[in-house]
Amino acid sequence: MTKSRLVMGPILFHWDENRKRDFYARIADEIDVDTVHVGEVVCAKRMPFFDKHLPDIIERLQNAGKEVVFSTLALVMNEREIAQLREIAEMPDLLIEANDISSIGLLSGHTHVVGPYINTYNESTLDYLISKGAHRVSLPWELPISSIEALCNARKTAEIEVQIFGRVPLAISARCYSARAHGLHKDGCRYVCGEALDGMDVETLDHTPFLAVNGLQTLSSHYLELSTAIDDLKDAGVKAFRISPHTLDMVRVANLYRRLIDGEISPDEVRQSLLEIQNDLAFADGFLHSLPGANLKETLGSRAE
Amino acid sequence: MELVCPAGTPASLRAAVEAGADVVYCGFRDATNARNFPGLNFSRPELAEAVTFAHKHGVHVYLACNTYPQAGAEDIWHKAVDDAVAIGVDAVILADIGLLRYARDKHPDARLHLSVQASASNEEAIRFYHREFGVRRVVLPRVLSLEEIRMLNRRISVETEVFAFGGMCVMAEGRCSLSSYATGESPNMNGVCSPAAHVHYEERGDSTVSRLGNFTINVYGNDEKVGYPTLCKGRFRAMDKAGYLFEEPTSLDVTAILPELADAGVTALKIEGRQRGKAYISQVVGAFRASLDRIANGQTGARGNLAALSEGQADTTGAYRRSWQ
Amino acid sequence: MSIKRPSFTPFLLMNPIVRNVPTFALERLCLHAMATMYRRHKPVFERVTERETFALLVCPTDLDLDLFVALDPETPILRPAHEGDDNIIAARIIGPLPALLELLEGKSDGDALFFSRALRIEGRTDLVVALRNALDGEEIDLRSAVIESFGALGPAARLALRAAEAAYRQMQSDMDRMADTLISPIEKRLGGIDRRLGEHAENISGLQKSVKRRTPRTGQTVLAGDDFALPDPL
Repeated sequence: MTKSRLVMGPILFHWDENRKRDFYARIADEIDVDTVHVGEVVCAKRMPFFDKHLPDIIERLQNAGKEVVFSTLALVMNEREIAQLREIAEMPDLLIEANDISSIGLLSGHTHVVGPYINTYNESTLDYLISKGAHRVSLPWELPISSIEALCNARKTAEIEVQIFGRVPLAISARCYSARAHGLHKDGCRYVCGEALDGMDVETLDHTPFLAVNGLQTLSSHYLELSTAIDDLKDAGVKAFRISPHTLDMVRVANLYRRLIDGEISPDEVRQSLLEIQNDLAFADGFLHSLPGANLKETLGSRAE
Repeated sequence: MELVCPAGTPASLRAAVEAGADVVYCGFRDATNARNFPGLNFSRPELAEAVTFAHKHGVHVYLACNTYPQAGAEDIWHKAVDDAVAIGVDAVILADIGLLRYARDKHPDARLHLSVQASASNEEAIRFYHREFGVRRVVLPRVLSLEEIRMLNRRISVETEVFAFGGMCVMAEGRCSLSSYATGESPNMNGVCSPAAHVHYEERGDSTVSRLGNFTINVYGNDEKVGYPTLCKGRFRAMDKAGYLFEEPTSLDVTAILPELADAGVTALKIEGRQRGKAYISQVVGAFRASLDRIANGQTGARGNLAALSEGQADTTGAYRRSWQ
Repeated sequence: MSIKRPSFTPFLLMNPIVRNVPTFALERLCLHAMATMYRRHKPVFERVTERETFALLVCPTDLDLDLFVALDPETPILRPAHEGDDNIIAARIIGPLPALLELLEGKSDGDALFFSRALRIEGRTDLVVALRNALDGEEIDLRSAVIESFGALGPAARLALRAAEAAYRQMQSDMDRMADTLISPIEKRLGGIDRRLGEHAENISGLQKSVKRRTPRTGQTVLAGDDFALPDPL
């Protein structure tokens, strides 16, 4: 059996330049991940802040032996954004992750990666994407294990990837909810999304943690944590496991999952250690088990707090 | 502009035809369409009868098969497309890439429309669906502004259909798992959003609490107007504030900007609401028919009064005005 | 049990009669109504029970009479509600009788009635939605059903019904006028009180904000307005 791939997903939040540079420097030097995603997925307005650093970061990561993937926007809405996509698609020797159908069109015929924002729900779609050059396909978060298994069985060449840690992107909109919560419109947003490093907490009226807002994107409040299903996922044929960056010590998080995937520690140890890193984490794994996504299978009925 | 109207039952279809629809769209009674609600939609014989009736009145029928086929069960969706084509619908509305490819290969002459659930929000995406699957019309996602639609129409050769009235998704359609996060059932996989089976109302003193799965979605005073208990139109807390963080309970109504939409090159107007009753269909379709006829005769001042039928009994032109964003 | 507020419709005036009608007479009326409905609109019962059979209570807010409805593809039941029905019903529909009847005929949009709060639903919302959809799929005409059930008396019944309907409409308009006359001075006074309360509330909320920063949050649900509404820029 080939070694499983550990993937560091793109930074979804609007972190400042220094935080991002430190993060990638630590990944290059300290973390045993196989693949690292760079690039902006959520909002085109954030791009100018970090684009200038990307060539150096990509080089540094590649020199450290990592496969680098350039992630692209999940919602492409205008000419300017299309032009940016075309530029990215033309970059030589760079593996690109398509997150909107427009990029599938632009990348067709070149080796590329299909991101979890593309609706890969069934065998026919997977087959089509592979025929257009998809070399790895990261599956949508809401898929149950039965679908994941069916897709793994149907694939001819590409690797199947599943996210196993981090808040789950649930929706994307033309409207900026970070700006709206601050009483601003998107056009004059003052980049307030940068204030919430893991997303702005959204609670129900009776104070139950529910969602996290990240500009145009809405994520789960709970952190997806699939360590208990890792063996099932491997058995199903999943080859790549994505962890999504947050402010907690991602070096330690990545090392935990590396050891879990390599069979050195148990899921219990992963959960315990995660809570030692950050004690207020609430976990969920409902989607995988055909339950509400916010549920945690072990504590059916009562969500973990 | 062509007026495309919803029908959840044969009675609604008749109401839409009588009220002046150019086209009626409907779905089969299963998870293949995005309004998979109890007691709603068409059996195969009902659809066949409906198509005969509509065609006799010069009205077209489109079939929505716009959920994402489940891995391991794709044949249910394939069958839906085959049956719709055999019955003789005038177009099938699809969202999934695999299903589009199936339809193009199996029924090369069938007219394919791209569902809003595919969320094709830019020219490159639309060109992709046109080039790869021969899609002839795209239903645009409700995230684009009027200006963006105008620009788009100048650059593409495919027809565009936009939403004109009814419930409005604030998130990009077909890319939202909020419902399944709270209930386990989603628009993409199950054809439902915030399904009624997971909705509960509780009376708490002088107010009503609406809950979706384990989560409180809203608390209303007794005289407050309400909307569907849809997750994105609930009240939540953030930053020590509370209210409609994503969207107020409101419906889209483009009556006020009809001439601008025509000028922007839009081919068809879509009315949302296959889950609504025939009374709604008659009123909304009738009002839009009258407005369109007035515009066609060079008259202006088209103004309906459909607020009572709207969620929260309030209207918005939504993302068509950029300030909405 | 939910709190019922009387709705100001002419049916309110029927309450003294309804209360004094012997139970067996009501039961026979219900039996007859359901038999007619079943004969004329069997598909409704098939559609609505496609996934499961169930029972519910219809609670008109303007009539001292709740109705029990069991939906079954073969043996549906309609009767006055009994004690203990609460335990066997899946849902409850609450609203003024005119609205409930319009809904039955598909003359008004159920969602719109719900948005305006004229109708309330308790319990299994999905089953009520299924019923609404099934009813809406049929062309139900109560007048012709009533006339038909009078059999040979048809033409006479039609005349009687027309007179009753006219009387009903006149009564509704009289009652609306009466309600306006009674309520408007009270509303004016309440409006004044509201304004003053609003001023007080503003003062209090200012105070609360300064207190809130120092106190931990309570776990209680409170009624919320909308702090996120944005002004529309020109």
